[in-house]
Amino acid sequence: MADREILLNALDGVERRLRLDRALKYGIDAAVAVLGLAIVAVVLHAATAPRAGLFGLSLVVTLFLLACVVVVAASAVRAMNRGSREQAAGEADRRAGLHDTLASALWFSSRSEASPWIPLVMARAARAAAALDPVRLIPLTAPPRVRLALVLVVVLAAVGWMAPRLVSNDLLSVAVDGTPVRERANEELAALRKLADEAARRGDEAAKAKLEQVLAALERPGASDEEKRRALDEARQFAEQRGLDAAADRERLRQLADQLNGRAEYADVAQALRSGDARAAADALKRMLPEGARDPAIENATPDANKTPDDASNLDVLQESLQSAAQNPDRDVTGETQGKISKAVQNLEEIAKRLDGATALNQARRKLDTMSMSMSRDTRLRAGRFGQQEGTPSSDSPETGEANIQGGAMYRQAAVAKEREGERDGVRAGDASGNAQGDPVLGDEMKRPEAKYKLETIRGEDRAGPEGDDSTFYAASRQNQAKVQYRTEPPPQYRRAEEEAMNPERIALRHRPIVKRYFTQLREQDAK
Amino acid sequence: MTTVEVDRRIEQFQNNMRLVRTEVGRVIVGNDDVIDGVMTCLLARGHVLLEGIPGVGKTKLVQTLADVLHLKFSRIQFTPDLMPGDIIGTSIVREDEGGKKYFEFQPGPIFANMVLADEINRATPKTQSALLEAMQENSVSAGKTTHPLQQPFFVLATMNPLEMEGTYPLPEAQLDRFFFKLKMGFPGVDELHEVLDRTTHAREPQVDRVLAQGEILEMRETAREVPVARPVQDYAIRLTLATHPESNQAHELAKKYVRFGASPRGTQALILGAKVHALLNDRVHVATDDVRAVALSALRHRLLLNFEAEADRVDTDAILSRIVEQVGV
Repeated sequence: MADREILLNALDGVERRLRLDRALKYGIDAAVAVLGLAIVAVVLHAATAPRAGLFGLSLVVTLFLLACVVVVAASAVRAMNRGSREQAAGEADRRAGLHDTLASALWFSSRSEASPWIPLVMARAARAAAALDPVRLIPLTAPPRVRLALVLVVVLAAVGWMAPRLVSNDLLSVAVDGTPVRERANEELAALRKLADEAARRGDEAAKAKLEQVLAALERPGASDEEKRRALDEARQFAEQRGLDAAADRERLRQLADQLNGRAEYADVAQALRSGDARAAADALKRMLPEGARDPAIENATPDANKTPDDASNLDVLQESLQSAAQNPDRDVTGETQGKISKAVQNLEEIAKRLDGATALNQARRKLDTMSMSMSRDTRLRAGRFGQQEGTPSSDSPETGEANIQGGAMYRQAAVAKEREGERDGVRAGDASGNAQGDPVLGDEMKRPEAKYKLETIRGEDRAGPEGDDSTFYAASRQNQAKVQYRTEPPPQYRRAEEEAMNPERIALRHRPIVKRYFTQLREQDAK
Repeated sequence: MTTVEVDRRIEQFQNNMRLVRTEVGRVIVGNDDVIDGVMTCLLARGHVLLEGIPGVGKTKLVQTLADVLHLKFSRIQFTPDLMPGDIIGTSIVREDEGGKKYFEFQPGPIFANMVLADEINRATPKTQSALLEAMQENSVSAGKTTHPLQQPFFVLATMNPLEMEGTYPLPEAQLDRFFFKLKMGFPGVDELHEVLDRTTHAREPQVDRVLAQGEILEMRETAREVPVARPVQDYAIRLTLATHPESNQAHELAKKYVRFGASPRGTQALILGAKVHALLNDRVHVATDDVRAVALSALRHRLLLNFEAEADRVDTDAILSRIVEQVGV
C-alpha cells in the first residue's frame, strides 16, 4: 500500500474515533442543558399559577419539553457533523506528539511538488500513521461536565422535593420560630375564615362581607402583592372603625353607670356597666326582676335578623329605660318598672353581642397586621426590589468619590495647579509649537586647528573604479607641519549634551508615570 | 538529487552539528540553546546579536566557534570614536616609483568569514550603519567600488545591556538585519563550578577545527531545502501579524504596548530558523513547534515598544511569550 493510502486510512480511523468522542461530549452537554431546564421548569411550575399549554399539559411543562427537543436536536446535529482529515491529522499530531508530521504530509500529498524531500516526509508520516492506534490515541473518557450533570441531578431532586413546600411570594423564607411561612399563612387564613363564619352566625353582615372580600383577594391565584395589600388595608380600616365604635359604646355605658350612682339596688348593674361588660349588666338587671316576671322571651331573645347590632338607638333606648326605672322611688319593682327593666335587659344583650363582634374583629385585625407585615418584609428582601434600590442615581459628592466629571476635573486641575512652575517639564514659551528658544551653548568656543592644508589631485586613470574621475583631497602642507591640539576625551559638559541629544525619550524615568497618568486622564475626559 | 542523497545530507548535517556542539562544549559551559541559536544563524545565512551582562562568555563563545569552524575570523572592538572606514576599509594614497600618486583600497576587518562586533552599541549609529550593507547584501561599497564578501559571511555582535553610559541604541534598521537576538543568562552554581575548573588551571581546554568552509556552505544549502507545509507557514504569518497593533489579528498586548510589529524579515527568520531547528531535531519537515522554538530569538529585537510599555516596564519577551502561548495552531 502506498504511503499516501496508509496515511489517509489512518486519518479516517482517527476521524471516526473523534466523532464518537464528540458525540459523547455533546450528549453530556445536552444532558446538562436538559437538567438545568428541568430545574428551572420545576421552580417555575411551583412558583407560578398554572396556565394551560399544549396537549393538556401546563404551559411550563410544554415549554420545557419544547426546549428539550431543541437542545437534543442541536446536539445530535453537531455530533453527526463529519470532521475533516486536516482536523484529524492535527489532533493525532497533538495527541501522539508527532510534531505536525501527519498534517504536513497530508498537505504535501495534495500538492505535486518535485522535491526529493517530499517522499521522505511521506514515508516518515506513513510509518507514524501505521503505528497509530485510534482507540488508545483517543480514549473515550467521561467529560468533565459529567460531574456537573451529577450535581444538577442532585439539585433537581432537592428542588423537586422542596418545590411543593414553597410559597409563590416568599420562596424559601422561614419564620423565626422555624415554622414555614406557607404553613403559618394557611393557619392565619383559616382563622380569618372562622371569624367570617362567626360574623355570619352573629348576623354581622357587614363584617362578614368585608372578611369574605379579604379572603377572596388573599386566596385568589395570581393576585398581585399590591392587590393583597390593598384588601388587607381595607379590612384593617373596617376593623379599626368597629373598634372605635365599640370604644364609644363602652364610654356611653360608663356614663350610664355614673347616672345610676347612689342607688344601692342598681350597684351591681352600675359596676358591670363601668367595666364595659354589657352582658353582666343585663344579668344583674334580670336578677332584680321577680322570679315570675322574668319573661322567657327576654332570656331567649334573639336579635332580629334585619336589625344591625350597631344600631345606635339601642343605647338611647337603654339610657331612657334605665333612667326611668331608677327614678322610681319604690324599692319594689312594679309592673311599669318591670317593663322598662325588661326592655333595658334586651338592649343590653344586643349591645353585648355587638361588643363581642368588635372584639372578634379586633382579633382578626391583628392577624391581618401579621400577614401584612410578613408580606412587606418579604417584598423588601426580594432581589428585584433590592436591585432597584441599588440602581438609584447617586448625587455628586467629591468626598465619597462618586463625583461626576466636574468633580473629577476639579481634582485634576487642583493637582496640576499645586505644582510649582519650575518643577514642570515643558514650561518654556513656545514648547508646544516648537518655537522655543534654544538652550545655551555648552562647552568652549571651537577653535580652528592650526594646520595648513594643500589641495592635491590624483589623475583618474590611476585609481580604481569604472569611471576613473580625477579625485582631489587635502593633504598636509609640507612647508608647515600640522599642529592639531590633541584632546584625549571630550569635555564632560559636551558629553552630557551629546547623550541628551541622543536620548530618544527626553522625559526622565521617574517623571514618566506622572506624564502617562496625565495623558490617560486627558483621554478619559475626551471619551466622556 | 535523490532521496538517498537527501538522507545522506541530513545525516551529514546532524553529524557536523554534533561535532561542533562537542567541541564548543569543551570550552563553553552550558548555554546549549545559545550555541544552537548561533549555529542556526550561521546556517540560515543570518547574523546574530548576543546580549548578556559582562563576563558570561559572549566573546568567548564567538572565539571558540571561530576556532571550531575553519573560517577567517576578525574581531572589531566597537568604541565611540570608531569610524565606518575602520570597519569596511579605506582607500589610501600611494606613490609609485615615478612619484605618481594613486588610491589603493585597504580592506577592513569586515573582510572575513566571521566578524565579531564586540560591544556594538558603543559605536555611534553612523559607524553601526557601516555594517548594514555588509549584513544584508554580503558586499561592501567603498568609494565607487562594491567589493563582494567571501561566503560564509557571518556577523556576531555582542551587546552589554547594563552599561548604558556612553552607548548608542542600535537603529531599528540595523536591529532588523540581525537574524536572532540571543540572551546569555547567568550560569547556575554547578555551571560556575565547571567554569572555574576549566579556566583557573594552567592549561585551558583547546578545541579542534572540525568544520570547513565547504561543509558549512553545504549545510546551509541543506537547511534551505527543508519543505514547509502551508499550515505551518500560515502559523508563522499569524504569529508575525499578532505583533502588529494595527492588524485585525493583533494580540491584545500588542495593541496596548507595541508601536511597530515585526517586519517580513522577521517572518523569514521564523521559517528559516525553524528549518534548521527541524533538522537539528531529526525532522524532514518544519513543524509549528520549530517555529515556536525560534519565535523569541527571531522576533524579540524586531518589536518596537511604545511609551506605555516602557512606563509599565514591559519587555518584548513577555509580550512575545504571551503571543506564542495564545496564538493557536
